[in-house]
Amino acid sequence: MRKILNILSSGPILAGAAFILYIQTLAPGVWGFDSAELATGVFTWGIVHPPGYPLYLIIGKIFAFLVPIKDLAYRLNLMSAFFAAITVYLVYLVIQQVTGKRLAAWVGAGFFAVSNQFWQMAIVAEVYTLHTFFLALNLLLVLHWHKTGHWRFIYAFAFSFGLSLANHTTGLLFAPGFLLLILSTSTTFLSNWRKWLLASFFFLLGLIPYIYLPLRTLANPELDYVKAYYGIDLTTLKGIFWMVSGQAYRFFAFGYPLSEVFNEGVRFIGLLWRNYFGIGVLLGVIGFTWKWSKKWKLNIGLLLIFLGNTIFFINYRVLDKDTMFLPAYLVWAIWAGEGISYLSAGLVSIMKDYPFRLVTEKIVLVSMVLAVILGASMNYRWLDMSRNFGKQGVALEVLETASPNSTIIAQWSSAVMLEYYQTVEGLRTDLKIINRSRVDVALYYKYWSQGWKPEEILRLISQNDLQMVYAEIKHRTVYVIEYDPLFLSGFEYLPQGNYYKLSLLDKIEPAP
Amino acid sequence: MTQKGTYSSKSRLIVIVLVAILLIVIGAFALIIWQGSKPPHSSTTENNAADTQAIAAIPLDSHVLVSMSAGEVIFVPGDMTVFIPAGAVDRAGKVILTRREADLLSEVGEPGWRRPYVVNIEYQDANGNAITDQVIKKPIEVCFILDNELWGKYLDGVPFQVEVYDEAKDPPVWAPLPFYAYQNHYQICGTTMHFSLFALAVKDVVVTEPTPTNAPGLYNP
Repeated sequence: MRKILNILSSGPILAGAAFILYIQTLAPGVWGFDSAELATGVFTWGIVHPPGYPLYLIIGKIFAFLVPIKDLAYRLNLMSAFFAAITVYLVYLVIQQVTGKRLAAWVGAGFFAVSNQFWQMAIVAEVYTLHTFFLALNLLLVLHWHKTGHWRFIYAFAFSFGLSLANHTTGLLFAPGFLLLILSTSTTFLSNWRKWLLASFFFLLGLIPYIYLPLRTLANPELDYVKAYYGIDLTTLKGIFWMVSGQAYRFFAFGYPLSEVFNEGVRFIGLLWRNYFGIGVLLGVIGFTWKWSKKWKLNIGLLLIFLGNTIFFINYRVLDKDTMFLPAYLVWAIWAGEGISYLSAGLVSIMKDYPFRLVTEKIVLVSMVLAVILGASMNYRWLDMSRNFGKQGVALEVLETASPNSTIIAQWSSAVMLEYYQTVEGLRTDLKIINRSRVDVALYYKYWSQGWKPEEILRLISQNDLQMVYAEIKHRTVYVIEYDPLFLSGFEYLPQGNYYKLSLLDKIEPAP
Repeated sequence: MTQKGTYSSKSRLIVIVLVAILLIVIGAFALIIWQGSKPPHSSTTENNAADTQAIAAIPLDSHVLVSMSAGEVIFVPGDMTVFIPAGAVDRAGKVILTRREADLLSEVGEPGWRRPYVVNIEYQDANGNAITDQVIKKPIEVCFILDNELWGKYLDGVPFQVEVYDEAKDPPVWAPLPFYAYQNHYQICGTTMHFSLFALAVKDVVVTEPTPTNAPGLYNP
């Protein structure tokens, strides 16, 4: 019985179970939002939206080559599941390292594995499970350094941290936390300049994937977001800095007035609460506060990582920010694991004079394992995307029925999907796809950089969009996928199934 | 006596601890079920207002109630349901409810009315092809479930109607359907003999739902 329990509570079994769960619920094909753009980026060795995600594009290409299953979009969905499963295993190891308890590690990592935000990112092509993979790996390496004092863990960490930035630059927000965790072990790190230099060398080595950006921009790939919309030269250091620091989206950072920040903070707590079914949040609070004096260095380090992520993204005014809190959720899983560990230890302590103490402890832990399984079954119906084709249907309908050589104007999610089908599948290359979101954000950036006020910028963008349609409709049939009242001022919407054909009203064009 | 007393207090402690554990476990499970039954928020996988869908297979011999909440019968404020009685259709297929943008095609509606909820109801065969010539033999009931604000307006006497986008008219118009309310379920309903575009229309109520393109966001700053 003990042997079976040991096997079942092992990290690989948990990661394997999570992988099967993700495969079962994996999106069947190309998905909207950034997924389709990333897939097109992988296919074309292209330049996608800032900060560029060069490591993701390189690994995606390799993974898609090595795993010849179905189409490219499916393979990249599978890659997310793969890195998610490894992340779960690494989180398990981290919690085991911190608590010394396998079942606590299983439960903490298990809650993380079935949490809705992480699960959602594990079943579509996205950069986030690679991001959490690196965070968990880096935490594990630092904890090994903490435990052993072996420099090889610092070198490995430096290399891995560099690589993580080449996937997602916001990993830089974790730097203060990692620095504290490293220095809290030994301050000789700074005085030993030779080893420090070697660590720096490994860090720079990890940044090498960034060479992808200038190399590929020189090759003029079919998809080059930056050159096409911003005119930025990625062969210069200035251009690369512009890209990796996300200058194009700078106006989103700290984009809320103070009055709204509180609400955004509350919203984040709500997301965290739902993510861990409430119970994981309570366990995390226990794990964070209990025996504070014994592990305050570790907790402060983790807290800095947690806050680095949450403070930045709570203040980041974007639509898909909920997915960007995954690092904070991962840190919370460690605290939840600690909470379980303390509760079970407390129980043993209360029951120390009684013969059933170990059995009682096991009952509690097995109940928590069942709680994770219950959580998975509750979330399954919300997160199963195996039969969810999203906007694929509309995109294929457009590609099938739109008039030859017409123009399709679409918002981001639909537009990137159409681009995917055109570029990757070679469908309807006669159509001109205008990604209105890309055009509008680039314009916003342009006017914002020139110091225009937001309301003025929005007016100019609306004017630009109208003129764009007027210019297109003179020569081509114009379709729009999303209804927008803006166009009612000059055009009539003629329903074409799930999208619209625009027809010019008998009005005078606005002056340019 | 002392030993007996010790055993008694030990037993009591064991019972207390076991009961406490049982309560905590039950509480934890209840919390998970409660939270897990709520749809999680997701900006990337959740369908937006323009393409939220509910799909249900329609047999010929039994009635079906389709809700916008994942095709199940869940009463959620702001949601809608469609009741298709047994024998209403003569071909088995599936009904697809697709949420469309608020105030869609409002220019063809009577001025002074807003349409906070617009839903397309389509009937498809097994291959996913739209069945456009389906003769409906029994009235289908289309119900919109109102949130507190709208229900309050309804109780205050603000005019409401359930409308169908009547494409048979030239030009097409938003036409009101026979109308009634289920007070217990905060529902306002209409009956129809067509699958088409339907709207909940409210007179002189400012729609709070953001339009898809004018609100600040990632791609619409």
